[in-house]
Amino acid sequence: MPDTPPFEEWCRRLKASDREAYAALFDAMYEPIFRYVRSITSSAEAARDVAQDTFIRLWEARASLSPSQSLEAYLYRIARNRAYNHERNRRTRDEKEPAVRDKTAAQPASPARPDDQADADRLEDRLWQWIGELTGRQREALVLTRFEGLSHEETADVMGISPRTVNNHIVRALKHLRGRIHDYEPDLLGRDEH
Amino acid sequence: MSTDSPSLPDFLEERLQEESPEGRSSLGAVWGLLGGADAPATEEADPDAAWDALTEAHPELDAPPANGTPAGTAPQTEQTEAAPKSRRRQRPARRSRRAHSWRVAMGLAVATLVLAGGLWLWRQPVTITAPPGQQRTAALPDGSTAHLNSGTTLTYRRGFQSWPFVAAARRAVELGGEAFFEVEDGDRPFRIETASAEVAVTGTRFNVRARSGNARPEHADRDDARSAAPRSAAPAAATEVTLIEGRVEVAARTRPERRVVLSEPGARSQVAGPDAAPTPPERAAPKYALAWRNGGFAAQARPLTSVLQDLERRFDATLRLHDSVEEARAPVSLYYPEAPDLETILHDLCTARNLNYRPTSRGFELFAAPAGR
Repeated sequence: MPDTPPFEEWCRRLKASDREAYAALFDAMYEPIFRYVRSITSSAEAARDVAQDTFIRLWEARASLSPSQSLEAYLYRIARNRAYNHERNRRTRDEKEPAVRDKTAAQPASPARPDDQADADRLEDRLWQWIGELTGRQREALVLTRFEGLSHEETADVMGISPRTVNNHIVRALKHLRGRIHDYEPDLLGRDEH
Repeated sequence: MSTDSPSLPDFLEERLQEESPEGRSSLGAVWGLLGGADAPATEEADPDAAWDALTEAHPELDAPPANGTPAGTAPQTEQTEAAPKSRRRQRPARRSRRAHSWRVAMGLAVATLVLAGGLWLWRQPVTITAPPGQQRTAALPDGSTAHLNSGTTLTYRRGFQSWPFVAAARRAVELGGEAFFEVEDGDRPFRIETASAEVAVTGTRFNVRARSGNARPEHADRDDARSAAPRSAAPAAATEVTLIEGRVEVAARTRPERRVVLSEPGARSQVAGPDAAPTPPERAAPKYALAWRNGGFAAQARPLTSVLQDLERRFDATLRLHDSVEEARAPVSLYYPEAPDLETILHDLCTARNLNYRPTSRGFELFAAPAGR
């Protein structure tokens, strides 16, 4: 991320119903929010709905925004609640679906490719496949801290758990991935950085 | 914030104290590898379509800003209007949601023409104007803001880009008039150009006044009366920069090497013309330079004619000085912290200079008081 978006200023202007700030916030945050929601929901369609709801809700709640809080974390928190609600509702609607969302649900899992495609099958795709194997919380903690650039305090705020627990989730996630990477190509881990 | 370096962030390093060094380093390598991976879902996100869908379902979110006062503007400035109508300016022409097949059939030549035309349009600078009698807040593409005083024009490259998707080397704006800037920190320098000066900035807040303030009406002028304001700003309008916070560099347009650095809050420097050296920093009470932002009005030892020009812009009125008025350029000082009306100011002005004023069709005329009064 090149520049940190001016969340505090947006927060101030949103409180004053500044639609331009709202549009700017949308521009900066739609994709990250969509990606995050997509890591929770079962389909891109659902992620679109949830992401849209999130931004509508933000506008409705603009008067209660507080500049002392992290606007970014707040946005993720709305998105998270909506995404989990959506998934819960979907599961109740659709009883046939086994409740093992944690293992399978969300996005990244690009289908495993045949070996003859190994060249094109970049490490990146593999990584996302393995991230798809993590439990929901591990994946969430990892995605928020590593890919969306939230601090672990903000992540804890979004997930409603303690920073310590966030760390535990991340470490477990990294260990799982380390195992996968090691099986795939041990050399990738060999590089010492100190 | 995450970085692409393979080392673990601090909060994880702490958590992993009991791990072996090799264990830590291999987890660091995993963390580093992840840094190179882009979330695949990014391709599924389509912010433009999402914005369209959002504003279709909730048109109120797309409406041009209501005339509610933006935060930070005091309620007294009832002239203040919130910024330009177009939201999401940073995006060049929005892609249409579904590509229509007939569009595909369009001839290549037509497409090229449209593209060239669009690009030409895109390249037209963005201009924001606060007409006389009004103030305006401009949100700039980098998140900085400029509060424009009455009778002020601000121009900049769309999105601070030199071409679509190509960031310009610097964030450059051109200013004619007076504005208060709140500049966001950024990698690219922020630069303000006026007729006489250029002001280079990092993240900071300051006021720039580029008015033909010292341009003097000809005293030998024998007409019955004369307008105080030559409407077109004289080409060499003097520029005055007052720093509130941060740091700026001031230089004349044609002599960028002779610069003056303002780093103390309240410091002020003036550039009289394009090749004049900036005056060394002097301390000034910022309340005078900033009075206009709260709807107030201030002049510090400025020629009467220059003060009248300010009032004309501010109140969108025509003010004339009758020939009977002597020493039209003698300095005047005024300070109203809160929104005064024009007649209050004229009354005080006339009392101080022993003048009278009378209404004209578009404003007022000042004339010398009869000797006996």
